[in-house]
Amino acid sequence: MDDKQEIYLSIINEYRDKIIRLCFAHLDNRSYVDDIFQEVLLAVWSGLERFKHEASYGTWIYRITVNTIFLFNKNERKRRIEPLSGNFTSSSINEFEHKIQEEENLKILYEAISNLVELDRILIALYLEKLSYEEIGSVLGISANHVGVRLNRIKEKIRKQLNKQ
Amino acid sequence: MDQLIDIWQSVGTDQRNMDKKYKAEDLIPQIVRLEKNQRKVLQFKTIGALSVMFILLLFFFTQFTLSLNGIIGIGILSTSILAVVIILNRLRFRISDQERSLSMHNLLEVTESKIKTEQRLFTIYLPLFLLFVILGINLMYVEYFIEMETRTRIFYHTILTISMVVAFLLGLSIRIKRFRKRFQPLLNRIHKFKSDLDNH
Repeated sequence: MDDKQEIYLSIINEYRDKIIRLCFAHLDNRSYVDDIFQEVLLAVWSGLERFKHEASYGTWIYRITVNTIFLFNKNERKRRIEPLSGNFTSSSINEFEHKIQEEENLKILYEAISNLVELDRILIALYLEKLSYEEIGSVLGISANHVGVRLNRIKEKIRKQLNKQ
Repeated sequence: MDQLIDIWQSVGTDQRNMDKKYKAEDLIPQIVRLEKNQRKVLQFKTIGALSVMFILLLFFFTQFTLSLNGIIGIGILSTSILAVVIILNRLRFRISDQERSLSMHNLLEVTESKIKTEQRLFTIYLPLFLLFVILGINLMYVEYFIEMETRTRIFYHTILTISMVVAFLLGLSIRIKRFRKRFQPLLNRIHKFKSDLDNH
């Protein structure tokens, strides 16, 4: 296994959960998570050699993920690769949905997030991933101050929603 | 909020069984194969375009009298076809993997500018291409119709021109429909997102 493959595997194994969580927060239709996840993997693989370490791997991966989610077009599947082994099939989606339903809190949180506008969904997802305001600002291309102001409003909205439940 | 962070982070740790299904290891051979296929498709397209060009030129040189008008016509036609193929290929909307790792604000700018460039195809490049094609084909047919009466020649040239314009407008309307379907929703989302990003 060469260096590129080794770095790739270590990055993906570290960030896999985070990528999937970001997708779940943003997508109305969860069956697209598989497609987006594969697009992110492809972009990471292709971009790895050009990665200049100007930002951390984390910021780089988050940028790729949020941009891929934003640009995702379900009608365009040109770079489709074969389904992954041990697939993310509809039965496993159901299984996953079932587990989510068991976690009532998580369901409520997802509902609260899904009521937010697109930008706010990304912002809160990055915040819940414990990124600092600076890191979120770097992913989105806005100032940390702007992130802070916006996040305070989002937190307030979520709090109100959760209190209603 | 700390509690929410814990709830959020539980996905992926509690669901680790599910996540194991996303095996990055299994993807590497597929990705490498996909990259090879993409290179092959590109090579195939280039060879295909050059072959079509060669066949067209062969057809023109064997079917038409090699007068000065004919040669100029063939020259204009082949140059404009070549130019439009290059322009279409260069302006084709695609976000590179490098652009995908820009900050979202920058990506929105890049994407919007690419969509606007794509729009210029309809307003500038394709109408210009039509003008050159009309000029080239009419020049090629000057010698072909030379024995005919002036009115008949004018009639044939007019028919040629009108049929090219009609074919062009049909093609253009299909392209515009496709553009609206594919890019208008994205453009609207970009504008909404940008305004959200700019508003504190």
